[in-house]
Amino acid sequence: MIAVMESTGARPDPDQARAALAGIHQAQRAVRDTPWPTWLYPANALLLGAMALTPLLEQHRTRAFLLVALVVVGVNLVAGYRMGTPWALPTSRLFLGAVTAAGACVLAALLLGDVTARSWPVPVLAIAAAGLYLAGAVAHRRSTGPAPRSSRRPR
Amino acid sequence: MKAQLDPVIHPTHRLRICAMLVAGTTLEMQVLKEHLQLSPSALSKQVAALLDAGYVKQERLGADSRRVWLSLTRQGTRAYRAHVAALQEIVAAAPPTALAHDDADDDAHEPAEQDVDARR
Repeated sequence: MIAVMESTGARPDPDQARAALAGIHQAQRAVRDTPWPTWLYPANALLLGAMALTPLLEQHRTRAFLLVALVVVGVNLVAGYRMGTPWALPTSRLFLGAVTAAGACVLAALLLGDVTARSWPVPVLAIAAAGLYLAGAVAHRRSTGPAPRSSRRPR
Repeated sequence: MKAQLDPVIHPTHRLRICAMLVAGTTLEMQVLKEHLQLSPSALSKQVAALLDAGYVKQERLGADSRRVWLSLTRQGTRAYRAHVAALQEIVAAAPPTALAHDDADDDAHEPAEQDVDARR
């Protein structure tokens, strides 16, 4: 059917157009749901926790925060390039929601570190950020299937 | 944006390559090969058509020159979006009864499509 479309260049009928759109959807999901290496989840969770803990530092808070943020970006970019999909956004809404919530915890820790003298909310928020990310990681892994044996694809 | 079918993007595999590049922005050729289940030569042929049309650009990034990276050009993105819009218009213009009938036919046609694609 599609071979006929290609050879004649004819306008596709609704059935063919619908099949083409379904194929697009399927192809895009396959790219966005490329399995991540397992080590990336705990690494990101630890780094998010570390970002949330930076307000506890007595000096160079901003510098430490930016440094950890840079490491987060770097680690994820390197992992993405090794997977062959550096910029693909996962489809799992649970995962994206959990990442957003974890990010909100990090921001809340930064704000609380500035406005309150109490230090206990900061580690609590750091644990919450890491925990939320890991919970999202479970949802992400379920949506993508098992991780590749090696994050570097065979040639 | 004007909805317009594009003869370069029209073939199934090329449409899927463009769709994957839209979803991933920059993808390694190996990723396309795995998802499309095409032989290296068949994939190269499809990608070459998109490169010739100026819809896709090809780069070798970093130290490993064996890894080929693809991304859509601005022209390619425009053509892809116009093509998808045209497909959506065709589906939207179809009477609902015809769509219901087509649903039933889809499963029966799918294996034949795959066979044709695999032989290409």
